[in-house]
Amino acid sequence: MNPQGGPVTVVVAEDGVLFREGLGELLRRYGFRVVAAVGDADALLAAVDRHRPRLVVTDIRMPPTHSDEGIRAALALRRAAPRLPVVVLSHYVDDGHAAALLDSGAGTHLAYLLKDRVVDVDDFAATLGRVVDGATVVDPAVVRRLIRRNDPVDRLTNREREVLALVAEGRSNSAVAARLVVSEAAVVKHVGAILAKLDLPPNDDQHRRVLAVLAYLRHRGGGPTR
Amino acid sequence: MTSAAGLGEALRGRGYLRTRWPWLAAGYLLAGLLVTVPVAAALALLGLPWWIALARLPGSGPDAASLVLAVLGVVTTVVGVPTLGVLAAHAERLRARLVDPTPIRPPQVRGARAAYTSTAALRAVAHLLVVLLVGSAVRAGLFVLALAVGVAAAAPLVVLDGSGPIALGPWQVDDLRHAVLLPPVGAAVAVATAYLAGWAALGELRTARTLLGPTPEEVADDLTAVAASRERLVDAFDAERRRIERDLHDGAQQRLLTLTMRLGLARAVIGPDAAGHGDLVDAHEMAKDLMQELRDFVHNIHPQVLTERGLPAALQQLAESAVVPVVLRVALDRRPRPHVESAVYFAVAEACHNAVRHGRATRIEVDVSVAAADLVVVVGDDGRGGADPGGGSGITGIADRLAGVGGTLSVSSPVGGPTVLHMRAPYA
Repeated sequence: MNPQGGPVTVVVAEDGVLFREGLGELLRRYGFRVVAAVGDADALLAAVDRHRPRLVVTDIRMPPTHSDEGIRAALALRRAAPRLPVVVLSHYVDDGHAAALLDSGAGTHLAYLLKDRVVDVDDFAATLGRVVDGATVVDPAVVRRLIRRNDPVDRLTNREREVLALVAEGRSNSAVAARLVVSEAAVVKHVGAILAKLDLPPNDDQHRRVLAVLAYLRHRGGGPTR
Repeated sequence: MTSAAGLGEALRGRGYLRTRWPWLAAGYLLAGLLVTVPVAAALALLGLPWWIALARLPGSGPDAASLVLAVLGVVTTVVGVPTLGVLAAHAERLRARLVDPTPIRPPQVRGARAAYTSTAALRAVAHLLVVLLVGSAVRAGLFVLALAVGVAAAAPLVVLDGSGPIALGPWQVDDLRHAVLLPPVGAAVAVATAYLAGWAALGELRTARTLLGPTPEEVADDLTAVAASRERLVDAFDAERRRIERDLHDGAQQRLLTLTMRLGLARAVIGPDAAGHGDLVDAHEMAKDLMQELRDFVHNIHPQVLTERGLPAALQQLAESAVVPVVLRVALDRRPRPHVESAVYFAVAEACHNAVRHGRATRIEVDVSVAAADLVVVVGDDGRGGADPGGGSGITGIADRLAGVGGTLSVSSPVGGPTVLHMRAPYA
C-alpha cells in the first residue's frame, strides 16, 4: 500500500548522533527516504510541519529533560494529524506511555517499541512498513507484562500467549498462522479463546482486537502520561 | 563510659578484691587531694579581702575600708571562682583518666565571656563545690577507715610491745586476748573500705562525666550533625550512581546499540552462502546478548524508570520481573526525595530477592503507604521464615540502606514463616 507513490518519507528524532546516523542508514537501506533527522522534540515538530512525512520515528528520551519528550511530541503530532504513522522507541516498557500513545489520534498507524528492537533490522523495517499501512504495533514486552499482570499466565496456554504476542505486533491472522505454522482457522480459534479468557468481546477486525487488548492494558496500567 | 562501666562492673561482679580496681580507686581518690587542696587554698586566697575585713571588724567596726574590702572580695570571687572552676575541671578530666581511659570531652566554650556565663562554666563551678565538699567528706571518711584497718592490724604487736592501750573511739584494748581479735575485724573493715572506695571513686567519676562532659544539648547537636553528614554521603552516593547510569546510557549503551544494528544491517545483505556469514551471525547474536547484559547491569546501578517515573512504576517493573508473583499496592500522593526513593527501591528489591533466595517464598506482597511524615513499606512473603539479621541474609544491608536516609527497619520472621519486613523512611 503506497497511495502517494515513491519511497516513504520519514522524519527521525533521536538525540544520539551515532545512533541517529545508523538509524538513517537502516531506513535508506530498506527503501525509506529520510527527509529530516533531528535531535530534539521541538525540531521534530518543526520538521514534520515542514516536510509532511509519511512516517515519524522518534526516541522517547530527548533533551532538555531526557524523560518523555518523544511521547509528548508524538501526542502533539497525532492531535494535529490523527492518522500520521508514528513509531515511538522506548528504553523500557512504560504502560502509561504505551496507553497514552495508543489512545492518540485514530488509534491506528502506531507502534510502541523497545529501542533494542532495531537490531533485528528485517523485523524492524517490516514493522515500520506495517505501521505506514495502518497497523497498531505493541512491543512483545508490553504484552508479556500485560499477560503476567492479569495472572492469566495460568489461564492462557503457551500457544495462546504466542498468538497474542504476534497479534499485538499488528500481524494478521494469516501472518500469525504462517509464523506459527498452523492453519488460519486454528489462529482464529486461539484469538477467540484469548479474548474470552481476558474478558474481552470477540472481534474479527485486527486493529480493534489489538485496541481491545490495549483498553485492557490501560484499565490495568494506570492513567496516561503526566 | 565503657571503662567507667569497667569499674562499675568489677564492683558488681565477683572477685572485685582480686582485681586492680580497689587500688586504682584508692589512687584516684588520693589524687583528688592534688585538686582539692590547691583549690581550697586558692579559694581561701580569693576570699582574703573578706578575712581581712572580718579580722578588722572587732577593732575598727564597719567602716568605709571594710565596705571596700567586702566589695573587693565579691570581685575576686566573681572573677576567680569560674577561672578556678575551669582549671579544676581540666585537672579533674586528667584525674579521671586514672580509672577510665575514655577521655571526658570538654564542652565547646568559645570566647572569654562564655567562660563565665555559659552553662559549662556553671557546671564546672558546681563540680568544684561537689568535689570540695562531698568529695572531701568521703575522702576523710575513707581515710579514717583505712587508718582503723592499719591500727587493727597492728594491735597485737602494739599491745605485745607494751606501748600502751589502743584506743578505738570509745573502746580501749589493753590485753592480748582482746587485741588478737582486732586483725580479723580489721580485715572485714578493709574489705568494706575497698568496696566503699570503689563506689566513691565511681561516684566521683560519674559526677565528673556528667558535669564536665558535653551538655545533653551538645550531644544531641552532635548526633544531628552525624545524621546530616551521613545523609549527605548517601545523597552524594546516590547522585553518583545516577550519573554513572546516565553516562553508560548515553555512552556505551548507545554505541553498542548502534554497533549491533550495523551488524544486523550487514547480516541482512550478506547472503547465507557468502564467506563469513556464520561469523557475522555469531557476532550479531553476541552483541545482542551483550546489550541485554549491559542493560541489566545499568539497571542494577540505578533503574532509569525510577529516575523518570518514580517509585510506583519502578516497583511495578520490579514486581513484574520477579520470579514469583508479587502483589504490589502503592499509595503515594507525590514523589519522595530522590535518595529516599532510591533507598526504598533497593530495599524492596533486596527484600524480594531474599524472600525467594533464602525464604523460598512463592508469593510476595509489597505495600507502600504514607503514615504521618513517614513512607511505610511492608514486604511480606509466604516463605519459611527464620531470617536472621546477623546471618548474612541481606537484612543488614536493607537496614543500612534505610538508616542512611534516616529510616528504620523492623523484622518479624519466625522459623516456619511468614517473614514480614516493616520499613519506614522520611517522606517530608
